[in-house]
Amino acid sequence: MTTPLLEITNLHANIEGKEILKGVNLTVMPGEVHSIMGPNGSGKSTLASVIAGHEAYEVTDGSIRFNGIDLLELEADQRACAGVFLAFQYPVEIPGVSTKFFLKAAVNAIRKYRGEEELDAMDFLDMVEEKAESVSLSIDLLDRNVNEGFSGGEKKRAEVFQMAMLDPLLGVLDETDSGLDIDALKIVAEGVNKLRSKKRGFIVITHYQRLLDFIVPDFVHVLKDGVIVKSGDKSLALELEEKGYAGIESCGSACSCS
Amino acid sequence: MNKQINTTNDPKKEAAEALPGGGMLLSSSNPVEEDTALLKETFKEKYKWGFVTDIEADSAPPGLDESTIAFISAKKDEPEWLLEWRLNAYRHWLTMEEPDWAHLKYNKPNYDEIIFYSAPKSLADGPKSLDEVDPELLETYKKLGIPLAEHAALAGVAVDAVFDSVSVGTTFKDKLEEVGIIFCPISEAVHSHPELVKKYLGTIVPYSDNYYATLNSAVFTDGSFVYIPKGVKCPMDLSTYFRINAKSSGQFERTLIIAEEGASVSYLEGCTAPMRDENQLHAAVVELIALDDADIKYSTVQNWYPGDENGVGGIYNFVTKRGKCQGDRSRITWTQVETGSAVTWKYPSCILLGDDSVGEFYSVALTNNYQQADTGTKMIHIGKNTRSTIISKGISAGQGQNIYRGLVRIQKGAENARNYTQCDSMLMGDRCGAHTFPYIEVKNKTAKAEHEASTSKIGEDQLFYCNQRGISTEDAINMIVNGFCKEVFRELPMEFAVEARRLLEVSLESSVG
Amino acid sequence: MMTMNIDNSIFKTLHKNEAWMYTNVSALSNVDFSTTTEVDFTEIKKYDIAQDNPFVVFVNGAFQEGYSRLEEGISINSDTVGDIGSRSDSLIPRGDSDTVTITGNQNKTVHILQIITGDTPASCFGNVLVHAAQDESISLAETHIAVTDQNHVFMPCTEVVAEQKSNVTIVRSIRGSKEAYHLGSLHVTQHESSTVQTHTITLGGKRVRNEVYAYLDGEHCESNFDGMYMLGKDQLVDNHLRVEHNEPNGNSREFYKGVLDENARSVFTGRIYVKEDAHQTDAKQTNQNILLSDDADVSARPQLEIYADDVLCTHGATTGEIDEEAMLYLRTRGIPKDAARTLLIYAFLNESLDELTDDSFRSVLVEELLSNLPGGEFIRALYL
Repeated sequence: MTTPLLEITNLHANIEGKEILKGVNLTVMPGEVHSIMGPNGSGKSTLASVIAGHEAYEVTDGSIRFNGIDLLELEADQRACAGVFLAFQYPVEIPGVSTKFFLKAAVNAIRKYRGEEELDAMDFLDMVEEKAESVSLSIDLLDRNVNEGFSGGEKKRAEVFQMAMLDPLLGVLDETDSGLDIDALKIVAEGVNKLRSKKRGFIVITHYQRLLDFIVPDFVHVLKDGVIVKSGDKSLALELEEKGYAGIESCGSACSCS
Repeated sequence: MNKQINTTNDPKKEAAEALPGGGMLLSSSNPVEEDTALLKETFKEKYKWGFVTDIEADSAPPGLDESTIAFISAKKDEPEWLLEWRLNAYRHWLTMEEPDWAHLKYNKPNYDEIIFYSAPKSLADGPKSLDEVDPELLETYKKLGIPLAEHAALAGVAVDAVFDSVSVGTTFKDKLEEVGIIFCPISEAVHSHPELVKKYLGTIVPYSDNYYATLNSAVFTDGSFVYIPKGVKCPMDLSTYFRINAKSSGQFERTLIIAEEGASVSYLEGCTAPMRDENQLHAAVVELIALDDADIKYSTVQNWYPGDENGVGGIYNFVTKRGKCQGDRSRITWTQVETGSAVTWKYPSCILLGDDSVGEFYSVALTNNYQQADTGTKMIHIGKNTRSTIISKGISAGQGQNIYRGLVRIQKGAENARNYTQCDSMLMGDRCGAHTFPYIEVKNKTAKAEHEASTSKIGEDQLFYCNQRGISTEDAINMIVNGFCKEVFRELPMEFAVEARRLLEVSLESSVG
Repeated sequence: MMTMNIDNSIFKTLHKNEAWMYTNVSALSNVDFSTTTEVDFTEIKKYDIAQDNPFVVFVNGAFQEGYSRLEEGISINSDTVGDIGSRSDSLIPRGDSDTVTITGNQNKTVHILQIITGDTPASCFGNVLVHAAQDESISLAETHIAVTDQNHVFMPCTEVVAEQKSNVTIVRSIRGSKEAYHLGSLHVTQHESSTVQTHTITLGGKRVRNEVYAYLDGEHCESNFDGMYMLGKDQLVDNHLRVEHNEPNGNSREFYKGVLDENARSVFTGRIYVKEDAHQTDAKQTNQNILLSDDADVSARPQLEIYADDVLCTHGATTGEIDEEAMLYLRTRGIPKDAARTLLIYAFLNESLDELTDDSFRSVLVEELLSNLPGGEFIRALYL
């Protein structure tokens, strides 16, 4: 049997002493796309941050195994090297750091971790051009500082572009659709779809069903008050759209949502 | 090639500039070591002479020498150690020079003409009824919303009736005693609790601290003493009910507040009613001590006579206020609304010694007409995880000059110390000035200090917008100024905040055409 | 042959002035500058950064005609100091020395190299007068470099007069030995609609005082005074500025930032002065510091002195560690902690160097910055 890509068991997490995640269970197999939906404040973004290793969150119970290793043992950069990529909801602007500079540092750190040769300038630039094209990202943007002066859409496209560059095993998209108009949404979704493969898994966090028209998930989970209360296939997303989160009945303790 | 240096140094200029802010930075100047034999001789003689001074006299002769100090001390029947302390201060004072590093222009007081002690005036000297009182003053009281019953007392009218507030005061005093709180004039505490006074007096502001504090140490007349025992939360804001009594506290006030472990107290000083006083120089000293988990909130509304609209007269308010967060997790908060005095020189400060201790300074200073204020704070971070916040709002109108001067020092051992400082200035009219002189010293890499300052005016567009919505220009200005000061006002106890707001309105009247 | 009679007693008491309270150079009062040494001229070529540009070389204070390339508008006058720098209240000693005068359009950056070498302490003044007439544009780069570890002292004094609609850019870099003293000043007078920018980069020196005095005497002046420093050992930099807005509608920016390692110290004093009626002044001043070691320290005095009400003046100062959010973002992209920190520090400093328009000078300074920066090798490898 194949090893799960990601296996979250009974995950509890706090921020500043306040418990946000109260026992999340979730298993993602290679090649699967899981969507996590839920009302505001249900813990969706917290889950993403905890997977990526944000130091402000404290894991108080449970475990996260990633590709057979204990993810909670790793620091944020080690997780990235191991293959976890988080597309941020609000990518931070970093004055003074040019995007190319930044990407070269990241790509080479990850290649080093994998025991690969560092890329030389030519190969790196070729790769940048190719990947940027896949999300219709203007090459000029990459001469700017990281995320500085990017429009909302450009920031999201830049996140997907970075994902393509870093070639992760797991992509976590945290409300990548927020603030995008329909055209921008299509471009971003297309970029993500190009990255779908048998080896790679995705967790797509979203508030609206709309994104899932373009990135079609294998599973949909509803996160409410820090626990997954219902799981299903993509029809669940449509049901949510229709009835709202309040109308969703929990599958109760018998639920095997994981 | 032969080269010569021409320096542009003018020794006079250099002396004039010597260590302006530097003086402020050094918390205490040189210790008293000198004391020549000659000085001692002189002292002995005068000391002897001092005791024959007629202590029945109502006031000391003008000027200051050791006999004056002996006279004051004898008047108050003080113990020997306190007289010695005063005399040490005086001798040190003689070696000091009046500081001139502040951004202030005024004629220095003539210390030979000052009467350093006079008995409280008899009520018989005052006006006989409200009819004799300056109607303008009464009008101001009304605007400030001061209860009618207090008008006469504030104006110094001789009335026999016992005010409610006095009896109210007595009632509260009983209540305080029940929980072990000591709240009395410091002259009384010297006799009733000498061990406490002796233990703490001058430990936060040493008698050698600075020119005015040293003078105060030599000649202080009276002030408050507060002691909150371990674990006691003071059940009321102290001094709210003592507005009228506060008037006689004199020009050299000395206050000492001690909060034992886990104690807390909120102390209110001053009053919004304009204070007329013949004494031009006011040099008060306030010392606060907070032990582990203690919390002291010290709020001031200062409205001494600012001089007239031509800048004639007015009080010099040269005050030293300092608190020490000695214990872990202790907190000291200074809040001040300064609208009075011709010249203000005042830097309420916090020494953050205990780990996790917190210092705060919230200030509104308004200078109108020819008023000048050089005010701010010092936050000295010594303990770990110490935090300080400084919010200063300066408003300048007329020809007023408003200066923020503040020091944030983060010592080497102050791991993770945090400071946030915000200084905002508002200018009204184009003949006033707003100046900001912060000193930031950081010696720990894990510390963070942030300072922001901005200057603004009330925009024509803001006024127009308000006018268009039916708000008068005057109301609009008050609204905008109040908004500008909001962060400070919300730190004041509710009742005080309401008064402070009215006070600003009154102080700004006629400043904007 | 050069002899320098410095009345060095002046250094003994400088720190007793408020303006010098954090910077003590009294050690200089005991230094004997009178001995002369043989000079090694082979060094000069190494510092000829832009070989197509005008080049003015001084070695230990003496003009080197043979190594210089003077072009039209650049002259050396040995007879007068004139009133260079006399408008300010600077306490730095001034002395007779050759004065470089720069006039006319100088669009190729004029490079003035002040170099001190030799095995005994040497001192030099460097007087420069930059006069940009109406509509003219002058670009100047000054390199002050000590090549031997001695108590050398530099006291350069540059005066800029920018007439109507002129444009002047000055890059002053302090490089080389971490034992030398640099007590320099820039004096700028601006007339209507002129633009002046100065960049003061401090990488070398033991005690470095960089004074800037600017007088915006005409309306619509644009002024940018920037500074950057990366220091270690027991280096100290004291950036001291006074910007006077004397007429309406002036814009000034002062932006100083730096990183301090080991026992290094930074002092910043900046005064924005707005005269009565200098309305519509827009002035902004910032000092940002990052401390890398337990023994580094920072003192900052950003000051405003304002006598006009219709103005927009702000200042800010920050001292602290690196932005944690940016750190996290870099780390989620796989960059290890130390590398992420180095990258952010470099970015913080390089922002200032990015402002330099002349590539040859910028790349030399980037190179020197990288050699001063802990972990600079890692950054060098990222250059494409």
